[in-house]
Amino acid sequence: MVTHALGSCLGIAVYDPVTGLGGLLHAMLPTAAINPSQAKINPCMFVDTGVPALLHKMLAAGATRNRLSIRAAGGAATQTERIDHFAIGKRNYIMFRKILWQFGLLLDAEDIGGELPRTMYLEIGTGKVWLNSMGLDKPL
Amino acid sequence: MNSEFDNALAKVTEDTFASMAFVLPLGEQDGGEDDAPPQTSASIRFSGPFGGSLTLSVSSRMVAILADNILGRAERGSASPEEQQDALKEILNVICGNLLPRIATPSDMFHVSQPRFLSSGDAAESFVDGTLAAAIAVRFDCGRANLSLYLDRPATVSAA
Amino acid sequence: MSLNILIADDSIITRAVIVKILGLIGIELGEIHQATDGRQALEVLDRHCVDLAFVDINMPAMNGEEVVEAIRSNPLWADLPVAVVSTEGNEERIARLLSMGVKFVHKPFTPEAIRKAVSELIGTTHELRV
Repeated sequence: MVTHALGSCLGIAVYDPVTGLGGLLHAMLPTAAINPSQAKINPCMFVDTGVPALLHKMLAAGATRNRLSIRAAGGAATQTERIDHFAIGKRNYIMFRKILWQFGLLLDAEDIGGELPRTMYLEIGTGKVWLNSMGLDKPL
Repeated sequence: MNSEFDNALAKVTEDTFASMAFVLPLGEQDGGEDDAPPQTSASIRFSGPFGGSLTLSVSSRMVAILADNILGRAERGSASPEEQQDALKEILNVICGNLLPRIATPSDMFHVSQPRFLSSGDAAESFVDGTLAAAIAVRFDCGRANLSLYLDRPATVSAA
Repeated sequence: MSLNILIADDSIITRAVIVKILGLIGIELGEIHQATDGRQALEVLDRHCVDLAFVDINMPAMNGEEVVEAIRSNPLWADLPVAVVSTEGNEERIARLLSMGVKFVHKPFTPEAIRKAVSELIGTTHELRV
């Protein structure tokens, strides 16, 4: 699975190594409160509705909570976003930490912030997660 | 007052609130702020190369949210009054501990007292040492945090 | 083997957060003892068998650095794995604590920072999801 061009957006890979269940989320904005009607159509757009949606789906499909490996990337302040005052990337990450903590889950790896966009890959067969930024691959 | 102190205090406050209590900082253009007056306060004193005190005030609604968030409870209002008071004190303790190396040097040693919750009958002034060096209001999605830093002698912001 | 743990911090909410994290990181927990100041922390160590301690620095009665010194100078506790969890920014003080064999976790901390400290302190004898 792959999600492209994570700038201020947050990419979240969740994987259960025993069942081989995995999911990849590309959330754009921190909270559904910004646009509740859009959140009903596409909860995955927002961190505070997308992360619970992904986790609930994984658990409903047979994943086990204490086996979940969770990795996150993105939340950058890219060139165009640095001139606005919204700091979307930072806010996405803060909201993500809040939701994880409410769910009682810890993060296994992260590559957050900076200024460069990232593409995030999750290999379902192995649970391997890696990033590509400016043509360079690196494991996460 | 010193704008460098204001900036250092604002940065540490924003980072501390975000990492401990997961509240989102608001930009200058954002609306939607809860404008309830900050009526819940805590104060902390410190001594070392210079001494002083730091006071933090937020609204009572905000302090309840901060405590729930720190504890990771999604249900609003689940933190007890004791937990709420402690949340405010601990946030202030962390802000103070992280601010001092920025307005001193990392080799300076400070003694930081236990933070005190100021009940409504307490006069904030009685917990103040020195003269006002910084006073800021930081806006978050769940309300505003007001902070005042008092120092008993001049200090400069370190490069850090 | 389950781990008996001491958490010494005058903040109720910080103790609650550390307790919650310990429940999430896959270690088998025994008794969790909480102390609100340094003196109480040493009393807990006197009365109970503790396998791992979390100690704040800025505490009433006796500060965390004094607690660590007392732990290291008592032959019964000298080898106790200790994590100091504090806002301390003074480099000399942190270096002094590290030289006494503790792990230092800076406040504000993430759950992952506590998990890492636990893993480094007791990871060789306990299986952790890290």
